[in-house]
Amino acid sequence: MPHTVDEKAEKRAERLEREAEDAIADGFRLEDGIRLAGEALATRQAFQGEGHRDLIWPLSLWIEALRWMHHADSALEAARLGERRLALRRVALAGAPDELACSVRELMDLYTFENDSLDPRRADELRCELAARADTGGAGQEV
Amino acid sequence: MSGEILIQVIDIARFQTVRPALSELEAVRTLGSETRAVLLAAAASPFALGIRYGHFAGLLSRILRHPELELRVFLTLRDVDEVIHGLVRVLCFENGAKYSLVEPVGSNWVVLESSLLMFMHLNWFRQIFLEGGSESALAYPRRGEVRYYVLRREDVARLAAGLRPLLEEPALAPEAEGLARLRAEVARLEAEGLARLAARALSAENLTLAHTCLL
Repeated sequence: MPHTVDEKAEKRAERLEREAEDAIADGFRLEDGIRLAGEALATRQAFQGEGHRDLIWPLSLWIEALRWMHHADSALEAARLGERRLALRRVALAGAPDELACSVRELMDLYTFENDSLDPRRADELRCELAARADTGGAGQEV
Repeated sequence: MSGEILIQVIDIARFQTVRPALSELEAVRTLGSETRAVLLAAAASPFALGIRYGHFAGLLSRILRHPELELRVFLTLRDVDEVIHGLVRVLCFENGAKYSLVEPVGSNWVVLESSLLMFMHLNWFRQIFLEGGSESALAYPRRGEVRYYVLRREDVARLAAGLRPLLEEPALAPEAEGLARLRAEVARLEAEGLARLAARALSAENLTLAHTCLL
């Protein structure tokens, strides 16, 4: 039975994600991991749209590879991608405020590189959001 | 091979039972009830809290709190790999895969370091631990720093048989020099530990030995 265009695109995105996961976990093929995660993201964007929650995983893979590179530039790029991931998570995790708080915390971590803040103003905004969430009981648990 | 080899007892039948759950975790989608049951069993284990200062238990708690969520939406690759590795440790290895680098021999582990070179000179040891090839690799965890290799039961029996003559050799004479004496004592201690692990693994059909390189 012939596959639809979307089914083919889904299979391709899944394959690219799996290959990116292996490249990143390997630790020595981070550039490959970034390329594969980027291709997976582009594939999903093309057939699922800019706001689909499935875009979160290739973004997470891309961020993880950048973090492993331990460069200020790649850390900044990871934070930029982290902003996009958080925007998607705000929708996907609307019913799970504890997890959304974890995501805000993760983005704060992305703005920290070698004990320095890459963007102190933005880090403060995120800290305030986390505090506001704690006041309304949606800060989640530190794990 | 250099560095250290960690050898532990694994319940391979249990591993085969939880393997579908590990595959499902790796797919990072929504988990089915059977996989959630596996996670609940791990969360109830006293060993869960001991892994990475409670981080593993924290991840289990987060996943179990939101059965409606796909893992890919809120976890990272590292989180998922940590959960998979933690589940294998807690559910499949004796004593939660606990070991120590300070004590080379424990109730459920042996770390071969200083005497590894001596063992590597033994053909049967090399064949058992080095020539298993990739087919002896445990399917999970398949990523990350730790990769386990599993011995076939006939290799565990060969290990036990190979160790026997070493253990029957008399201890070094009292006049033996300090360093040589110390090495011989450590090697004997580790051989005794290995023999105990092999005997334990051979005592039940579901058990065997798993090994991994620590460095």
